[in-house]
Amino acid sequence: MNIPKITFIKINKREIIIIIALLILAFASYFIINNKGPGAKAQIEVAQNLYGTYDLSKDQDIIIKDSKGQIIMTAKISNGTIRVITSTCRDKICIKEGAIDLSGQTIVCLPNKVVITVINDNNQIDGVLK
Amino acid sequence: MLIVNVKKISLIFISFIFILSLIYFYMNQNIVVSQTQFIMNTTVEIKLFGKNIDKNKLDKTINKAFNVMKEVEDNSTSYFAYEGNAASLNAHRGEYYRVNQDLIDQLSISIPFYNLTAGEFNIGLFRTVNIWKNASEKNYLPTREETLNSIGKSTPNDIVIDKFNSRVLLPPDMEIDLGGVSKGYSLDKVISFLKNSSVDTALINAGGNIIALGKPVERDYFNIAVQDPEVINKIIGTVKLRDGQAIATSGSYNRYYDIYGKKYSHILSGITGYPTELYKSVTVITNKGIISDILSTSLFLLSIDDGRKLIDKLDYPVEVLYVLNDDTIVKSEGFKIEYSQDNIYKNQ
Repeated sequence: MNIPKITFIKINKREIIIIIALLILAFASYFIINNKGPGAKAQIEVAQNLYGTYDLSKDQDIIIKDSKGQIIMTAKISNGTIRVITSTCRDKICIKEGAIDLSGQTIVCLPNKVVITVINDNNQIDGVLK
Repeated sequence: MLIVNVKKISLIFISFIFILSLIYFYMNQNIVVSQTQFIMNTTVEIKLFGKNIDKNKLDKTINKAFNVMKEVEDNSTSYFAYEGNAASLNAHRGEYYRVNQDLIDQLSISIPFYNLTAGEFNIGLFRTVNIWKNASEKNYLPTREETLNSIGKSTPNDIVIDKFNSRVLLPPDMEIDLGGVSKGYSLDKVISFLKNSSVDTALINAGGNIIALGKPVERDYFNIAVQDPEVINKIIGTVKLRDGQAIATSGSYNRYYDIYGKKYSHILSGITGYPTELYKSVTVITNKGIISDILSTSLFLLSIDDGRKLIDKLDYPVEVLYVLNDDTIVKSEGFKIEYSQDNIYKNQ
């Protein structure tokens, strides 16, 4: 009775690869389709004006300029976090703050008047009452 | 032979499940269908939330929803005459005139607010509004006598509504303007249309009026930003709008008559016909669009004390937030707002 069962699951290498590939594809597509987009974003303000909002899922370097166009800071987004890598300020507290990634966390550079805030996309504004 | 077939079948079976699950996930993906149109002198955005499988239906529903709103606009306008609308009723004042149901409904709800606000909320101000429009075009300031005389002796209490025959008798010395009513009313009509079209979740933003149906997938509420009355693109804070709630703001900041470079609010006192400058803005949350619209205007014209007395007389749950001229914020206890970090307003 056991013999036919053994022959039943006798599948060659190529077929195993196909089946595994299909399963991986199925899982991958589940995550791709169900992905509601990157959750967190970083919002950068310079002198109380919104400078820009950046996806934390997209690795990039952001050059921050003041109102005169002078480069005052560089921020780096990597692995879903943001940190300051260069700044023209004297004490470099903003660089020492390190990387932030949680909603509500901030990096503040008082001399350069820069505020970087992590905002959660799940809490986005649905409408503005004018 | 048999072994080969079993292998083939299992392969086909797995592929089949794979494709089915792909289709299933695709169809069940959450989507937002959104459209913006210019209706009732404002930008109206309708957002419908649903599943991908219903996308075609949602696209059709959103167009019909805008048509519902346009119909209310045509039925309520005092500027273009259509059979049975407000402009035609104004032309047929002094006699019984057959009007559409939207007009009957809006009149029935808004007339009692004349007494409730001791005359401040007055729908019979079409002539007064025109005086101000004309004055701002020609750049002269209407006298108090001029605006007072334009109101006439009759009050909205003198309007006779014959619901059975859908007829209205407007006093001969009155012309109506439903500017502070029909936008909110149209939101209620769109919501009931959406419910009948089995839409569970929607957000309609008509500038100073927003109404919510259902809730978004990720939260139990919609996040609504309340605009700063002084600075465009700045907000006072955010408010949680839940299923069935309507929020409305009246302020002198977005609509005004510009005369000699001075701004005069478009919200006119029903007693004097002159703008009042008690507040920078008044924001109201309640559970009906038409009430939110009428109340934001009414409370803008009343003192805070009189406003509280008015709210107490109503059967609707009402929360209110005032921005006073000295930038102080006064609000009811139940008005929950998360102030934005850089807001300059002093919370009392």
